[in-house]
Amino acid sequence: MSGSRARAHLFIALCYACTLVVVLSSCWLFLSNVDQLVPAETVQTTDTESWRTETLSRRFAGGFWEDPAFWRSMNLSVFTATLTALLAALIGIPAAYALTHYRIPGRGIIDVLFSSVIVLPASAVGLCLIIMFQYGPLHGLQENLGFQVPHTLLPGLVVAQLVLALAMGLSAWRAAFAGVNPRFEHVARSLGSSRWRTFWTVSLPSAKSGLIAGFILAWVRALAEFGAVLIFCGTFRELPVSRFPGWAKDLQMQQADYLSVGMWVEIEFGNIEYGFGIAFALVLISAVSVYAIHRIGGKGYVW
Amino acid sequence: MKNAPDPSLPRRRAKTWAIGLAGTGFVLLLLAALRVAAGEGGVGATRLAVLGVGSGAGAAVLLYRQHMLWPAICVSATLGILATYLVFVGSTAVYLGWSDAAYFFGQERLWARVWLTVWTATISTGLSVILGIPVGYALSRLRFPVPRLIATLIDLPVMVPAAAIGALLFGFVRTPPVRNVLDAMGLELAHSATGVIFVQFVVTIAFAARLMKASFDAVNPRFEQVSRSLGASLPATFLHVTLPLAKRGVMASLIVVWARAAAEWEALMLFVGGTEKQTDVLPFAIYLDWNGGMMGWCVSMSLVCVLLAVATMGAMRLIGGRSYVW
Repeated sequence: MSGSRARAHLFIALCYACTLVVVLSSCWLFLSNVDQLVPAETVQTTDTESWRTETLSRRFAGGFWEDPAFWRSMNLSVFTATLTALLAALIGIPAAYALTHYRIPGRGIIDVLFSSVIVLPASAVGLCLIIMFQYGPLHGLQENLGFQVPHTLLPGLVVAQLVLALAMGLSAWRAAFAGVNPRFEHVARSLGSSRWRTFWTVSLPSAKSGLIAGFILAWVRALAEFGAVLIFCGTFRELPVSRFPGWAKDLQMQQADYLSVGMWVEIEFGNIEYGFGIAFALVLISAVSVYAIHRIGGKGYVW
Repeated sequence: MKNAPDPSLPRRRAKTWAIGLAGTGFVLLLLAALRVAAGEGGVGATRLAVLGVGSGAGAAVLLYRQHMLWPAICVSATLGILATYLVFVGSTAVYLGWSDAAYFFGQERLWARVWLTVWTATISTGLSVILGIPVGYALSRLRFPVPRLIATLIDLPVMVPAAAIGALLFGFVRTPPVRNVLDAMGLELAHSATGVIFVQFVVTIAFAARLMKASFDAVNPRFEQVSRSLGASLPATFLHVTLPLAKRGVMASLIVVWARAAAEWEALMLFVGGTEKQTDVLPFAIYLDWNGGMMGWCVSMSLVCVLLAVATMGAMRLIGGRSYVW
């Protein structure tokens, strides 16, 4: 039997080794970029026609924490992501409950369509959104009612994030409700509780941890949105302050970019240290949130 | 009798009435919105909207008296999302139109890009599944010292913005262990299909590991214990018991990983860069043509992407993966 045991050990060692490779690569993916935060000695900042003055560059991580535009972007990102997650929860939790508890004709097709959003490219999402809101009846509706969805802070950013955040949240919330033993609900119903009361006092508390994990998931996913926001909303940093509504100025969100888009702009325009500073800030936020999801114990779904 | 439904109306008939009222309200609101959109607002549209809201409120009152308001809200949320999704995809199809669709779908350039997407995604899926199966098995069956930290580290590349991954890959391939491996294999990543495969692999490996873990979790460990107790070695048990039992899950995960690889764009944009016929996989090509102002191209390609996503998810469901556990 020693040969068998040796083979078993080899097999287990192989599995551990593969996991180790994946985990270490993930660490290395982040750690190997720390030196990007430190500017090289011979960076040229002579271009006076550049889109930003040279006071920001040539410092550790571009000194992004002292830049008011970064904090305005942070305000904007956290505010809209929270709004998106709340909206997704408001629509998604009842929908998830319906999909797990009630018979809806064509549920298989609905399943396929909802889960297909998760594997839709962000560029396709952005493009479909632009066409949905800029052409056809919805455009006429916006014109005649005097509001605008694309390229705006409030409906625009939230709509762009909502697509994927809702799809992700739905998958998590459905898994959370599917994990509740239906017996408890049947008992509550047979004892005379109404459907709402059964939901509120039995299903909701039983699925609580999964629902919270799903909410965090939707929030992180909204914050991590890049492609749809880039195509649907673009950047706001070049707009004059007068173009922003009053509430945006009150909440310090004018002339700010969605963090991921801001990071991309900085890197594309050669402000490497600053861009990587934002990237690491985003990684830190995501890491804390993902850890929280695992800590709360969201399981049964992928993220 | 707080919990008894209103006896004055039989339940089934109440349901029919409520559905009829709510449907009428929806249609009236839609008509009002269409009139406003066409620039014919004013009193007529307002009247339609008020009627629609009133009809919906009537349905709500009826349902409330029958103690069915909550299920109705849940089902309408689902149907609302479904309707929005159909408008979302349908407006693109309507925008393109039949004749343009026939033109663009007959173009060599489109199919070359589809083919590029298909073969790069297939190779990267193969690679990430080869690594993902052992990792998934380890996550499912073996013990780890700090499980949550490890799970977080594995998940993290999917949960940070994909554009950030693209930026971070620059440092990753530049530093010694990875650079030496890449140099030894003679891989050129910038502006090449190899780079596309590399990025897709990096982005999907976490997906593959997670999905494989879910598939192996679904296998009852008792069967493995029986096999082991009858004298089969662990690798033999894995090959002849665990893997066949998890086959459906593994196949379903394979499809999802493939779909996710075929949907990768943001990291490509920063790390690999756009080159015609080399790196313009569909999602990236949409962005490139969008910047070039070629609306017909990008709309037709995003329709292909939508069809691919729906087809892969449909295939996954047919194989028997539960879509919400995917």
